[in-house]
Parts: sequence; C-alpha cells; structure tokens
Amino acid sequence: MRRIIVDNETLLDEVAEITATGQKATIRVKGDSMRPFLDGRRDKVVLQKNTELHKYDIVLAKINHRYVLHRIIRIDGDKITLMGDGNLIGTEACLRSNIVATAISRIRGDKESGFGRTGAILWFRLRPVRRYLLYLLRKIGY
Amino acid sequence: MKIKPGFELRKVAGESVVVATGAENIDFSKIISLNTSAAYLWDEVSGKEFTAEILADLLTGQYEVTREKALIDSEALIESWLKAEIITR
Repeated sequence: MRRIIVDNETLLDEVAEITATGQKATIRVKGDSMRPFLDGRRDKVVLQKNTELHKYDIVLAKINHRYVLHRIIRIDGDKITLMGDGNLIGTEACLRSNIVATAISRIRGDKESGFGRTGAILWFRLRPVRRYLLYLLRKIGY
Repeated sequence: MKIKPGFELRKVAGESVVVATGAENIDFSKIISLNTSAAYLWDEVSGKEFTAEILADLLTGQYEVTREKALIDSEALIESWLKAEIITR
C-alpha cells in the first residue's frame, strides 16, 4: 500500500460533506493552536454539525479556503469570533455559515471525553497570563 | 478471510480509501488508500468470505495477468490488509 498526501482543504471538505448529512466524523488534531486542551501530537476529535452554536464551543470553521479548529469566544448575531486556546492574540472573524461542525469530544488514546466549559472559561479569563501558562506547561512537558 | 465490520470504501479526493465507520461516525484518522485493482477486489468480496484463490480468480477474470502472478499478488494484498487490521482471517 502506498502513502498519499492529501491536502488539508480536500480532506476537510470531505469531512464537511459528511457532517452536513448529520453524521459524525473523527479527525486528527493538527498543530498547537488549541493547547492545552488539544494536543496535536496525539489527539483526535469527534465532529458533529450542531444547529446551535455556543460561546466556548470548539468548532471546525472554513475561512477563505483555510480550516481552523478553534474555540468560539464571541457570538454577535451572525458574526462569530474564534480564538485558538494556544494562541496569544490572533483571532478569526467569520460568519455562522463558515462554521462546519462542532467538536463534541476528544479522543486521547482509547479514552473519549467531552469538553467542559469551566476549564475553557477559566482559560479564557487567564488570557493576560496565557503566554506564561503555556510556557510553564511546555516546560513540564504538557 | 472477511472484511471487518465497520470498514468501507469511500472516494476521497479522487482516491479510493478504506475508512472505519461505526455508530454513524466516520474515522478519518486512519485511512488506507487502495489502488484500482485492490478497490475492485474489495468491492467484489464485500460481505463475503474470501481466500487468496478467490481474489486471484477475480483478478484473472478482470485483468490480463497470469494465475501465478495473480495468486502472488493476492496473497501479498491479503497480508497487507491483515497488517492494516481491516480484514479478519
């Protein structure tokens, strides 16, 4: 069997099609933008299209041919603001229609767990010291 | 040999890939691509018991290949599918 490289957009377009039908899809997490909650080295998330979006939901969004898996930090009618938990200042602005699906659980090893809001809210409130927290977490290997 | 329940062939980005499906959840974290002849064989033995001989028969019926080569290729394919854990003995 051979190994083929499929670009991100193509694969996630397929995921978007599947979740649009109501089915769930599991994907690997890529990168560090959602540290400390999601680890790009080992985590997977289960995605499902949710009709309702809530603040602090982790969602897959497509913005200008680019997919991000980030947290909703603000909802203003149709306007959504996203931010990666592992990012220091960057945010993404998009519309409801850019949101593809919601991450409903994380799979790490053979453990599947849902996402709690308390930790997310706390982490969001600690934005002023996020840089230091991420540094410390990295130091302890997290 | 039999295809494990929950594994099916899908077309993703123009490639035939085997994905794990289950409880209405499609797992894209482990996908295996099949070339044209492997995809053909997969479709043919879907839901059925098969052996290397059966695959070899299918190959000789569909392609210009000697029975010996078809059998060697079929055995190799079965080994790779077993290794990928997408079929059972």
